[in-house]
Amino acid sequence: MATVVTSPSRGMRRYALPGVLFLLGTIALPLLLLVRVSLCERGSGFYQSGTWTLEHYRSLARLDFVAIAATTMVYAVVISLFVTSIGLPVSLWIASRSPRWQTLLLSLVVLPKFASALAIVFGWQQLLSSAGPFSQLAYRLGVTSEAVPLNRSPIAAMLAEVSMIVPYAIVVLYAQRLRIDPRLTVVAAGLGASPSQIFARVTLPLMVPGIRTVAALGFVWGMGAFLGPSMLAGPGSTTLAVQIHKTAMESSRWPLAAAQSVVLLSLVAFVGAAMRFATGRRWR
Amino acid sequence: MKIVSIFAVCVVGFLLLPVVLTIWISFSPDSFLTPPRGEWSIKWYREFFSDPRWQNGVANSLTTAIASATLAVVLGVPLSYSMSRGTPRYRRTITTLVFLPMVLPPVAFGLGLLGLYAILGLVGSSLSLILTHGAISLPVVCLLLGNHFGEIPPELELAAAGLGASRGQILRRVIIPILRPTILASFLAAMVISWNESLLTILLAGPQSETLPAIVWPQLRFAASPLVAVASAVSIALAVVGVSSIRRLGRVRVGGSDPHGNSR
Repeated sequence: MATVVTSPSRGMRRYALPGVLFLLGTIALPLLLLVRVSLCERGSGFYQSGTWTLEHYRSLARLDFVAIAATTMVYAVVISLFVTSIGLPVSLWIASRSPRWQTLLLSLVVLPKFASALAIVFGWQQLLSSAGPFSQLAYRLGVTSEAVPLNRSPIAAMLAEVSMIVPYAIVVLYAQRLRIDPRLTVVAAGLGASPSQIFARVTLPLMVPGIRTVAALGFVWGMGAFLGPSMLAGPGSTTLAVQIHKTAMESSRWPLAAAQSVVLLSLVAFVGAAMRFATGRRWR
Repeated sequence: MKIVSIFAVCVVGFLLLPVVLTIWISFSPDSFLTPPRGEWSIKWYREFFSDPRWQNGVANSLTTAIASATLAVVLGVPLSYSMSRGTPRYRRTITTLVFLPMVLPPVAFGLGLLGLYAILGLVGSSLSLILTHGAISLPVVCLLLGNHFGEIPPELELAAAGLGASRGQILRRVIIPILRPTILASFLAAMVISWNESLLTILLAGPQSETLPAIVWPQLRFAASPLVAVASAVSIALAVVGVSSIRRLGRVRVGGSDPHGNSR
């Protein structure tokens, strides 16, 4: 009897239709258009209908572009590693506090997500400037002979990006921690496991799904990171997102920017598929 | 354990640092981007609220946020209802589509959108921002709603169906009233997302439609003044007001919707 209402009838799918059509229009269509534009000849506008060429992809097969793609991958891997290794201990620590403290700490962790990414990048830019506390501290302690601006380096860019992703990591890992049956650790302790054994053999393995999600999100968001690298990385270090923005907005070379975007999207999709393959399960 | 505590407290502090500094700088009495020590002033706030461009930005941010959140909720409620009652395979397919905007690199996605809006003659319009913000807040709306649809006992729907209600009537008269607090919360979350959306907005906004982040961006890049800090502080303050309402609404849970009784 229950199947009458809960079965996935066509009647149910009808409710998804407006949303699905909207998403196809705002997500699938722009992505298809991007692929098409990347195969167009360069013209005055965004899209020269009827022209086909592979010249933009050919022009990307150069060492400097490959170097940019490699830099982007390095950013993504470093961001993913830091996000995961910071998020894990912090989320476990929060989960070990009293309920009242957990609520307060989680609110504090989430609070920066209610500022725009621009506000966070602006904050880091000022914190790491030569007048900022870190530079001044290094100078006063005699580490540097003068107050050096720290806000023009890839490390600053990664720091800003990590600080923007860590709140999500903490929330996801905290939710994963809550799913672990608290009796398991009690049983393990009762069987004579030391706290470190409980962590390594009970808690950590059960945290793996959350860790996997966070590492993947960190990588994907690191690949697409734009504001940090463009505002804080300094002139020597360019990522794909920054390069695409430059090609499109400063040189108005739309088809080339589209081709660069297709490369970025393919890299993200490739790594996503590789992760799914490696872990043997579907990723979200 | 003690080391972990110190580390965790430092991390939370580091996360708050840029926000605190931005708000502090916004009270600067002069045009330097240094936090004021002795003398605080609201001079830049006065300038912010008397400049028509910033006023326009606040108004645009607000209307775009309300319109795009409405769009996301109107599409998201039936979508997540349909997902929660579908087969696992159907769910996976829709989930992939719904969560795609969360993982797409914004610059590439934004470039595609820019091309689409160019063809449609919508470049720089408020409508283009509303559609875009709607698409990126839809995943969050579905995430918030998804769990709660699953918590509604199927018996309720069966009872309504047994009394002769059509599917549309069940959704309107049974499901939506039960989920009203969650729907309102997801509406506010979608508003906050639109309010803060920076990257796609930078690419897509025009002089008529520019929201606060779109006005901040060029200034941040070329000539930052404490006004940038004021704009950030104002937008954080308004977002936090939104969040506290989410939390207030979140507490109005329907009895029995939490099977484990462990909600806070």
